Amino acid sequence: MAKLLEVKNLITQFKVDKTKIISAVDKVSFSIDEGETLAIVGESGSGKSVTALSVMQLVPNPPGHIEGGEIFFQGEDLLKMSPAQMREVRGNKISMIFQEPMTSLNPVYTIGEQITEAIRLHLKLSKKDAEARAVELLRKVEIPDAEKRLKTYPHQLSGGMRQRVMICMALSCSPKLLIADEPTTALDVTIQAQILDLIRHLRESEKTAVMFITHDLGVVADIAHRAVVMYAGNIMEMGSVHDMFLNPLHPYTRGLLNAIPKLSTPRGEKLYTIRGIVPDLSNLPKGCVFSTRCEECMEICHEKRPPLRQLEDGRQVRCFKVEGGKVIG
Amino acid sequence: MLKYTLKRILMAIPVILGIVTIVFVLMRVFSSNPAYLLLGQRASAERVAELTSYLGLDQPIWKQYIIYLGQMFQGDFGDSLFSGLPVMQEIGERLPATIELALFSVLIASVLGVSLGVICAVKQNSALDRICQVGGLVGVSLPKFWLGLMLIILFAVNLGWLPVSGRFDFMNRPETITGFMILDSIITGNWAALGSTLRYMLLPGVSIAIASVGTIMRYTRSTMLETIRQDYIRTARAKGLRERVVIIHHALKNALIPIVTVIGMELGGLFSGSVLVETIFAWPGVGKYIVDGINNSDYAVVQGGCVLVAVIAVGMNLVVDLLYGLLDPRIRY
Amino acid sequence: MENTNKQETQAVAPSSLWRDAVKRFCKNKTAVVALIVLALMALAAIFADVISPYGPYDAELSQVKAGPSAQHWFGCDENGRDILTRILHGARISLSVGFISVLISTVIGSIIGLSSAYYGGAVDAILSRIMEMLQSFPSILLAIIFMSVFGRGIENAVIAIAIVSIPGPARIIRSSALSAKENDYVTAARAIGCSDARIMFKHILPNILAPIIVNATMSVSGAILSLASLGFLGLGVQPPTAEWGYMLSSGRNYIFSASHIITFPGIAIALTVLAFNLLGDGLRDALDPRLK
Repeated sequence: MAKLLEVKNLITQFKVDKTKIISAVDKVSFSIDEGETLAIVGESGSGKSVTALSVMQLVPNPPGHIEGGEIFFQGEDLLKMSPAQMREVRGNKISMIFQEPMTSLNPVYTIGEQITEAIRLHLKLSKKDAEARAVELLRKVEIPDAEKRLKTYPHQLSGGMRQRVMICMALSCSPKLLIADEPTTALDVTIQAQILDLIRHLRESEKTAVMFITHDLGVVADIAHRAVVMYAGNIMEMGSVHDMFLNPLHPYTRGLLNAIPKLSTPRGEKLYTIRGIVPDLSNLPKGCVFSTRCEECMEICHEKRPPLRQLEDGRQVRCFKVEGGKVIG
Repeated sequence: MLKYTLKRILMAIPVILGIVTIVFVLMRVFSSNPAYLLLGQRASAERVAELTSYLGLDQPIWKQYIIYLGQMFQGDFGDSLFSGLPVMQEIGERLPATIELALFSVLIASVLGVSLGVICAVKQNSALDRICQVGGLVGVSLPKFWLGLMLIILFAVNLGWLPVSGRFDFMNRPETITGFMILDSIITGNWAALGSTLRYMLLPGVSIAIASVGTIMRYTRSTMLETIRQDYIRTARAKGLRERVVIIHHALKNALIPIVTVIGMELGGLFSGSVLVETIFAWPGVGKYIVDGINNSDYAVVQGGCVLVAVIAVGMNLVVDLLYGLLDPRIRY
Repeated sequence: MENTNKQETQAVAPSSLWRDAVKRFCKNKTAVVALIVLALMALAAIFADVISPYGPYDAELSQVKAGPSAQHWFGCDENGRDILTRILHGARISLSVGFISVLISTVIGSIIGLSSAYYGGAVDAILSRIMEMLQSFPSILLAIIFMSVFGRGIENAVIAIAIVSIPGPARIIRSSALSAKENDYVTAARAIGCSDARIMFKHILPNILAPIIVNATMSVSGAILSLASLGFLGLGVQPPTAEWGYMLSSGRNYIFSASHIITFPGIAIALTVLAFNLLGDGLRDALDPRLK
């Protein structure tokens, strides 16, 4: 299948103070095929959201900026585009939904005004046609009383409803790629399932590729074809969700998988946690970035940073312990 | 909405009553008998007593207070001791001049203050931003009456571009319909008068406005900086909107809600400022009327003028409060 | 990143909170310059007689309305008095009236604001209404009426300016105290049986000192402007006292022939007021970095 998005050696940095610069995303490369759903997984601070914002070129600047790399979308490098060309892409070919539905909608405009804004801008529809499309979209995201909802303000809706509106806005111009940045994190569990269901359903009907950012591996299994595991701005492991869940290679991935509560876990047994905390990005260990928390750390891991190696089955992993698709020792 | 409006109006009543009382206490209880002032120190005791009783000042103070309150509620502010005309009528003649000048200044202050504030927020920490920040603070620090004098020296005396003082010249005076000269000029289509009116209004208007420009600008800047960081601004950018649309449509409309409150609060300050500025520019408004009243010890004028200005200030707060509800859809009373 | 920053600021001990504030203040160049300017001004005002060879009332007939010269840097006024000397003497009045009236209004305002917040209910309703009343009155107008009733004089000016500036601190302190009141240490103090006054002044007040100090600094500039306005209307101090507003008022008739008479006192006012505003700005940034 054709590659829709291809990120190569992306480096996004943040200026912490006058002298200190950190790399929130450090030489990250991955690609998404048309119609594919790629999950980017990691703890907070792993650089997954910054990666998404970098693709949209919405990294808050200052303090952040894209230092290097290429982001090819349908064969064109987004980073070489003029601001005007990039605006044509945003909200049109690539759109994004955010983590916080409560604050991501503008409180002083009605839902209708906010949905039609992008439609009128990119599809050049009249106000009336745009409204008709908005109603149709609201129905698609299963919001009852669509016509009436157009005239309501965000504060009159629940969190789940607002996230539906956000999805509706993101899909309004039939994008090729939808970036969903932890779209369910702020929602109740039952609503989470509904929203995931909706995204899964819509990507089929709209044939949209999805870049799904989450810290929840359970959600990954539910929605994604392939997954990228990020840690401290680096990709630690990449591969199909099937392979990764069946045979996790990187100790970090294994840790994440073990940390998922399972029904089979005996009562009273403590849940597994990865020891330690995410390292300070301005003070990363010399060797493997995960070495400070890794339970299987070897001497070499403290000395050298392992490269991200391509395995035969197409998987990639950044660990000295992995040889030929197997964990050694 | 109606319920809230009524509630707000009811809440304003004790405030106005209090103001009326403060003015009464200061003017009647602590002041010396105006009869002496009118008749001079050498007047005979009989004449003074006669005038005192004519003015009702020989009554017990609580009785004077009740009479005074009763008259106030009927819109009767008494007669000026100086001109003998009803104070209400004299204020009525001068009010349009003051309101026109105040609105003109608030227009200058809001337009300049908000637009500079937005530019500074967008170009945060740029050279322009720093200059505006310091400039704004300088503007707040200038005494308005001194600024007025300096502007007169520069633009009226030295350059001769603008008139020194007054509100109109007799050659170019529009027919009085509303008393608001800009409005009257437009209604009668007298464009020469409009130009002349604006020329007279420019220096006093700027003198009053400068301080508010600073305040509004600084406030707009900080509110905008806060608003730009909000999630919904990122959403707007993610839609592919132009930066100008993001800033003006999405950020400013939100920031405007608190900014309007500050502009409303500045309006009160504009009225204060107009007291001195009107005196300097011989602007025939309420401020100058009150100052003249003080100089003439015309207690009826001072009483009436102060009460009226305070009532206007209270009313202005009320309007701003209600405006707030219109701008912010989250507020429904 | 944000989290670590927050943790750092929260972890500092209270004693170093002030040291940190001083450090932040010293980094702010404009605020430091403003402080130095004010200090120099205060020194110049105190030693006015030493600095200037002239007295504030020494009139030289030959120098009436004379422009700036080597002998008289800022020129002489309509009576031939040295303007620089009068400005220095005027600084004494402006600075002391500013300080004293702000001291009075801040103390009274603090008591009102604290009681309002602490007792709430009817006390709060009544006090807030009274403050609203004072505030809806254009402050200069109230000061004008006060002065015209009680007569000119420096004491009356201080009282008038203090009264009209009470609502500012009262309102700010009320709102700060309202949030400070909710803290656990206040509940704890109440639980161990502290008296109301002790809780208000020992437990709440120290925690809201920052906004009080900032407001007071800014209020000094307002007080200086009010004094000048009163002086300009002939309602301030007794003439011929060298006071900035009065200097402007008496020089006003000569704007056509000798504009320097009103230029320099005005600059003195603007400079002093600006310095206090800059100082207040710097203090706010230093004392409460969140407000920036």
